[in-house]
Amino acid sequence: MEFLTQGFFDAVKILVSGDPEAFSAIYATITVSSVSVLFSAAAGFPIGFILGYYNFFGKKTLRLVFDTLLSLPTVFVGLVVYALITSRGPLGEFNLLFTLKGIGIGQFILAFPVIVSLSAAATESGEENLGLTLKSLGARKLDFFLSYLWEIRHGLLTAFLTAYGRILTEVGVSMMVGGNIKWKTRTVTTAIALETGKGYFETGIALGAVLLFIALLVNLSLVFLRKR
Amino acid sequence: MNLFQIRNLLFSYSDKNCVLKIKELDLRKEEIIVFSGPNGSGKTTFFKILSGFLKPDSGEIKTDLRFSEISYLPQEPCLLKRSVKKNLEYGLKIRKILNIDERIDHALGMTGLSKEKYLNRKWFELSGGEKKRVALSQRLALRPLLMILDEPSESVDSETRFYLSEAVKQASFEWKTSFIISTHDKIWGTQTGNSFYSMLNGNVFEGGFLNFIKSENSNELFVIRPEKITISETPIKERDFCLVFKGFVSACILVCKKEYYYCVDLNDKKIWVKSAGKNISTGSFVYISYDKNNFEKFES
Repeated sequence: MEFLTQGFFDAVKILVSGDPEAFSAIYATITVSSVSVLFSAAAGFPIGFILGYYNFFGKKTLRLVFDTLLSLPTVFVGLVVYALITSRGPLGEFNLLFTLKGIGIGQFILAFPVIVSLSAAATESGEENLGLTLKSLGARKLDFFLSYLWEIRHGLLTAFLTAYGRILTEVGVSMMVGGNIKWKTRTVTTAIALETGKGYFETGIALGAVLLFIALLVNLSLVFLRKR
Repeated sequence: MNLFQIRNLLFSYSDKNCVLKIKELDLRKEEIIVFSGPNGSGKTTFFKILSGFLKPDSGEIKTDLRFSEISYLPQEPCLLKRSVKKNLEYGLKIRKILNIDERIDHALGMTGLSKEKYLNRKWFELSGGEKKRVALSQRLALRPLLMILDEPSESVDSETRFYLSEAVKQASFEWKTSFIISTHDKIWGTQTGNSFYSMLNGNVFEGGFLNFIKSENSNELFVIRPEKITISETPIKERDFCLVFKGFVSACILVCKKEYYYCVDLNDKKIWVKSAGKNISTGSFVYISYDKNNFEKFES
């Protein structure tokens, strides 16, 4: 049990001392996860809205597909992306393997169905007459779309944070596509896996605590959206 | 001038049930038109078609109104998740109307809400009745040519009902706004409106106090107009083709300052009877009779 308490002390030490190796992993984690989740949100919110608001042929099947993709195994996504961007793969010429961009593609694939599925659910659970009210007050096209999203912002925020949490803490894609290269593609989660493998549990726990701290900061920065 | 000219309108949500079938209906401009009818009679569907939110399966609706000139207030109005002021501003800003503050003050005043008390309140700080008043103010501020209100008097207290009625009458008087309103509350409806219709099984009938009677032997439905029924405090002699019932007067409503309508409670139903003067007091036992020849059969 001693290594647990030691781990938390080490976490504080890492943050206070500004350990360059740990901060390189923290920087890589925050950068790649934030960019991936922003791209996923930009693409996923409109699709989630369409799936939740409109009725069209094949809607139920699409919902089923996106709901199933919520359980995508991160290692499987890592494997598929690896196959796509490896030098012999169809995207090999772009040299994305063992880069943060490569990890970003995998994380986008992980976050996208979470955003779509949860924002579709948020749209469906919006007040029954919301669409009717907005149109009745004169909202059309873009005004209507943006106002609707704003009205269901609490549900969308949950979708965003769930997706962010999923990719911030994933290890499969980062390990397979990024390769855990020190100073380059090492993220906090791959660093935890490495330290644990080496038997340095305290450092692993310290990095885990740092990851949790990052998640707390992200939630705090978006708390204004929760305000009623 | 007609607000809507409707011919052979049919609408169904599925292939099986036709929820609206209106052969011929002309609704006039600048009137406060009140529709009454039981739940499921098709009022909300009809209102959504008139507002442009649903398209009929077939038939013709002629109007010179554009979608933006009509404002619809649903049965359960939904306020935007922001303050009362921002709720009222929303439609005005979208329509790029300039004198926003003046319009908001006026619209809130019409529904009896004080600016000082309500303007900065959030949507969750309002009661059900206050929400309805804010939702109506939201639409009044837009000053549309037609307002369609779906059961505004439902689930609200008498004070709110009064303010809603007054706001409708003021808008009709001040801006010549036409209103189409549905209600189950006949007293509120007659106090507010000046033109009355009834709905049953997707059919529309002129007159607000129609009696719908189901035949005892078959499932046929008949309409009996209140003016075709005789009412008396003394027993009425039974004749051929004439049915006589005994009941008591549960309500008396004065409509358009000239006609009295009595609601007579029989054992199993209420019957509306029209009378020229008010000579029977509420609570009195009365006899009513109607001639079977005056039954209007309608195909549902």
